[in-house]
Amino acid sequence: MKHEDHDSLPPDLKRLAERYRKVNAPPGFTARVMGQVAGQGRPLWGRVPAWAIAAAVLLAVFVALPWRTLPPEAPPTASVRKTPDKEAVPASREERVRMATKPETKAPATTVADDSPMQTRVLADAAAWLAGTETDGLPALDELSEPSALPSIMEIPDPFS
Amino acid sequence: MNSPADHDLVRQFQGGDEQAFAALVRRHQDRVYRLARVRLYAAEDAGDAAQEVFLRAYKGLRRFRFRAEPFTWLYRTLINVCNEYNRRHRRHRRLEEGLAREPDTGPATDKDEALDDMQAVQRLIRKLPRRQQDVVLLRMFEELSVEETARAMGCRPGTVKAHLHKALQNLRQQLTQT
Repeated sequence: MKHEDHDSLPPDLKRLAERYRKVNAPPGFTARVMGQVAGQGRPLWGRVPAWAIAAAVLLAVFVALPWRTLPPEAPPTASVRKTPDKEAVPASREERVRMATKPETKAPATTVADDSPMQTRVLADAAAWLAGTETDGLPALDELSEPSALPSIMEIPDPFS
Repeated sequence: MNSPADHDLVRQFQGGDEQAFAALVRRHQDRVYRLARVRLYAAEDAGDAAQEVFLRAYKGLRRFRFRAEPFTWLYRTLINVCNEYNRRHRRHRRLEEGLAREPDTGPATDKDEALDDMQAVQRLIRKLPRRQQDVVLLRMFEELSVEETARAMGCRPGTVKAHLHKALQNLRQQLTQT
């Protein structure tokens, strides 16, 4: 040590201190630090290349442009929201009571009435056919089982003659 | 030609001169590196820790108000960084201590001798109180003046002398015991 307490140091410590001071930072330390701090003080636009900024702007404009339009024939797909029927909810209390106590009316049946002429005839034809009696020119069941009983094509009368 | 003082370099750096900061790094890098090697238990982290000190200085010295020496700022940052490293590498530190106790069987090189010296300094100051460690490192090993040491430690020169006196007594006791 070069100061007033230099001589008071024990020789071992003095030698150790001299060896200690020979240890230096690794070579290239300053360059490494300056490489690390390079660009830290500059603003962001100074660190990003100009071509990257231009590309980002172009991409943003391309995405924002309304280039994807719907075809003209396509109808708008706005969902139709069903509004509740106003008549379903009576306004007055008496009306609501009346609606609640009213007997339910059944919807009219859409089936063919049992006594309709068409149904009667079809059912009669089917029963006769099943019973084996020929109706309307249809062969009986027992005749169908024998191929010879089928009329030949020449025997079929021409409906247009 | 006298080299500019630390304050001048910091002023130039605050004015936008990056080379002034590089000059500041060159001036203090060896000292900061050595102190980091002694303060850290993992010697291989000293380079990274010293680099971290200067990276923080790069940001912090822009707002430096010249109430103290720039080295005071660097030294206190170094203490904080070393504490963070030691906390982070506590497990590694134990391993390092275990390896340090093992006898060295390989051929001695300059690097090994430097490592031994640093470990010797570590062992020497480890038993001292914290303030005496600072005084021994800065005043005895780094050869700062009493005033410079006082500025770095943020105390009066008389306090430095008192700590140094007690530290020398403790060190002599250690050396006579070994």
